This record gives sequence, C-alpha cells and structure tokens, in this order.
Amino acid sequence: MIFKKELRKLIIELWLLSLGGWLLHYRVHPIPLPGSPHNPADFLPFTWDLVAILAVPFLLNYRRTVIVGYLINGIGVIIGAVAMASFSIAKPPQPLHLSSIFLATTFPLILILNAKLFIGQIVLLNFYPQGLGRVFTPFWWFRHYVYISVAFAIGHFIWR
Amino acid sequence: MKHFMRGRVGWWILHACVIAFMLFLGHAIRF
Repeated sequence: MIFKKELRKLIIELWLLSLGGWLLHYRVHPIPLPGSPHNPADFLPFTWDLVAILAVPFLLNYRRTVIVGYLINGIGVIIGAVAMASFSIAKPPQPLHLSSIFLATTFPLILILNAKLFIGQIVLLNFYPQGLGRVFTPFWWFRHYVYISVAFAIGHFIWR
Repeated sequence: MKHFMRGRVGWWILHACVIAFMLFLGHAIRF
C-alpha cells in the first residue's frame, strides 16, 4: 500500500469526499464544450476537485509535502463554501422561509464540504502533533475564511 | 514548504497569489 498505515483511512475518507463532490458537481453542471457559452464557476470545481482526487492524497502522505496538500485542501474548502454561498445568495429559493434557507440552498453541501477541513487537520496533526505555532489553528482558519470572503466580495462588487 | 511559508518573501508571494485569485473569482463568477 502506498499510503502510511496511520493515514490510510483518513486519506481514503478525504478522497471519497472529493470524488463524491466532483461527481455531484458534474451532475449539477457538466463542463461545457469549447465554444459554447459558459460560466467560470463550471470549470473551477471540476479542475480543483481533479487536483484533490489525483494529487492531494499523495501530497498528504509525506512529511515534505503535507503542508502543500493541507493548504490545497483547506483553501479549496473555503473557496467552495464561498462560491456555493454566493450562488445561493444570487439565486435564493422561492418561496423564501426558514426551512427553505436550510434545505433548498447549498447550505447542506457547505456543511459536508467543511468535513474535509477537519480531516486535513487530523492528517497534519499526525505529522506535527504539537501543531505549527500560531498558523493552522481553528482561529487561523476562521480568520482566513473571513479574509477570503472579503477578497471575493471586493472582486464581485468593485471589479465589475 | 514550512520554511517557504515562514520566510517573508514566500509568505507575501503566497498571499498575493491567493488574494489575486479570489479577486479574479469574485469578478468572474456571476450566477
């Protein structure tokens, strides 16, 4: 087996989540053929998830590359959550009430996506049991959630 | 990678790339 024994189950779990997300995206919006009108949002999950399926499991397996895999995984989660939330805000379900906000938006998918963040954290703690100081803590991730959302919002509303 | 991120130049390169990418995504993604 290529993967380290203590990481095998975690990496397979992460891989299954990525594969499921990739197939789910492909079902919701297949990437368009060249020449047809398209939205960049259709290409982003396709290519990012392809990296998450093919490269991230191997990057997470070695001490030299674990941080690269961890960052690709974590930033992918944040970008996915921000992009899916912006989709639900742009196209809210009709009629809009409390149950449709929780069930008919992308909210459940964002919750599933966030599981990847925690699995990545366990893999990192396997290599660095004491953590890495002030980076990659839960508060660090929370701050970066906010920063990345702000950068996305500036691009959306100011750069038109 | 750990040293790259701890270093001042690496830190700025990484952050500039992520910020530029997010600005571009916010600009490009229109639902």
